[in-house]
Amino acid sequence: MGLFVAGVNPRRPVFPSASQHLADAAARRALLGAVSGHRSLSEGLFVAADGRLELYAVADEGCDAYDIAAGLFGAVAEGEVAGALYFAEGIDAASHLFAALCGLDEFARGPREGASLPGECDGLAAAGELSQPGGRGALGAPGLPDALAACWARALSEARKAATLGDALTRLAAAASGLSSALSAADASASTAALAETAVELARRVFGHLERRCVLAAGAGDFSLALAGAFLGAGVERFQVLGDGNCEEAARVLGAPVADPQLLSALLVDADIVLAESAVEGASLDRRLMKGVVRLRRGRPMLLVDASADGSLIDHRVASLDGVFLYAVADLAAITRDAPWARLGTDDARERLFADAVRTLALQMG
Amino acid sequence: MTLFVFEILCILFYGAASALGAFGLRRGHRRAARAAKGVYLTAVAAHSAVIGMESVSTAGTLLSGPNIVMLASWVLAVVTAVGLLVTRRGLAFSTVAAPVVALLILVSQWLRILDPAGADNMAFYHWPLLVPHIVLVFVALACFATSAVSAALDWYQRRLMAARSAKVLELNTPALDTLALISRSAGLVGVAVLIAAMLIGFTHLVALYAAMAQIGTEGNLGYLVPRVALSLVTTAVWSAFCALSFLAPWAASARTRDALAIAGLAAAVLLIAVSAG
Repeated sequence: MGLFVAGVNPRRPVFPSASQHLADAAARRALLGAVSGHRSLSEGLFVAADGRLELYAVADEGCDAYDIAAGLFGAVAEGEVAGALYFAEGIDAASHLFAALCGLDEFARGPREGASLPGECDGLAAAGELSQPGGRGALGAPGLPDALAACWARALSEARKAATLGDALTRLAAAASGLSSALSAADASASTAALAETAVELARRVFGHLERRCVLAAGAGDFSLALAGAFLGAGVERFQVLGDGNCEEAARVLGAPVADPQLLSALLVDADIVLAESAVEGASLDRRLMKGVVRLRRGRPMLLVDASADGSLIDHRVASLDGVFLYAVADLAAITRDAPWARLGTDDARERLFADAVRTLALQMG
Repeated sequence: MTLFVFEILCILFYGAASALGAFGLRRGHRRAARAAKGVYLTAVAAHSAVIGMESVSTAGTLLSGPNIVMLASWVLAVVTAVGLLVTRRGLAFSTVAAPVVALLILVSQWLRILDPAGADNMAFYHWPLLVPHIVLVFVALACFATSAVSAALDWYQRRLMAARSAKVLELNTPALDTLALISRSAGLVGVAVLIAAMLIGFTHLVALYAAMAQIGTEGNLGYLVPRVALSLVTTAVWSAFCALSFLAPWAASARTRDALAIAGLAAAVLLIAVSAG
């Protein structure tokens, strides 16, 4: 299979003119027409947007794909193109696309961070798959992952209309689509990890060391269980679970028995951190109850996290009580946005998904 | 001089017994409670030795004003000691009684100073009372400053948390619990030290007045009135802070306690300024 990718290095002088020219859909259609008419190319699509100009194509065996790409880009760029391209072929071309989608390439991490090659280039070079004759630029894919996904979708649409989409690129597109879906799911779970870390940090700002603190999980669901897990990892040793029969799993994970909702007041006096996700029959966290609890706690602070979807499980007026700090999921998300751990779990998940996607496609390609 | 030293030791032992007893009772700390009992009984023994030495030095105990007060303090101390050994609630009673006994000992010394014909205690005239007085005042000021700074940080951090601001995670300050603990502990130590300083200062005042009366001059001690008044105000503010922090934390909000601490520091600084002026 002669799949390859060639792109114009955005750090070279020819990039702006080429980018400006290919910003026009008609220009891209004309270029796809040139691909369609080329005797050595069977498939092709152009990814063109701010910071990215790439040609994904399938060339016949034995022909110089780099020269073909240089010729195609040279028709739209002002200046010398041959030495301003980055290039990869075979599974490395697919790997390049997947790395860009996962935000793992040099440009996704941060612009202008130096001239070092991105990690995927090191791997490609070590595998001997990367063709880098003299004068050829470093491999890199500029632009944010989300923008790339949108550009890729447009490129597919245009290639489909121009009838330059074949089996190889279709298979590549399917793999990219699957990877995007997996990334979305991973981001959701990673954001849960980040929110949990924020809750733990807030607890540390209130209590300092968490070893002697008690966490009460009321109406435990997936999210509050994730929060409780984060507190468990942070050193909390005492947990209480309050539920009306659906919390056995949470009780098992946290090593705590399920308490009777009638004992809510007593449980709250002992609990320093409360995680409430769903309503429990006979247990309502209202201001009147919390006022009595605050008095019995003799001024010790409390951190309450309303983990319900709409943040209305705990009475908002509770926040006005002295020493009671109430946070809803939206509040945690707002704080997490600028936190250093905002991408907690994201990078590891993305690297894992990237590796899986490359391995799967390599097996399919044979 | 030996008698004077023993009396000072008595006062210190009673004070320590009271502090240990309060800590042991509040925290349920058995070792502190046992130590409080031991220190109290030691204080009673020293107290008994003082009365014995005084009686020997004067060939019997004259039932004059100072001696009556001293004997009354000893009776209270002994009764409390018996209760401490026999009853279950003896520790709580001794925690309250010990500072009263110490104060009665001090009062008896003041009366003795004012009545030099009754008993001769020249130690108060020769001992540089002002030195420990000033040192203790500045130690108290340091404690108050620590408490007030912690209270201010606590106030600021609570405001950020109430506003659900992300800035709270950028702060490099101790946790709220820690700040509150530092604030109330420093405040308590400060008020105890300030009260000790005030007692020494008052003793100096009494000695000064007695010395003037002895040489027949009428000195003007009115310049001390602002200092005494501000000392009482400062003590009152910090006492209120300690009472709200330790005994009734639900009675006032954390913001009120923090404001009290900051006001108490302002009063202490004003006291220093007036004293130095």
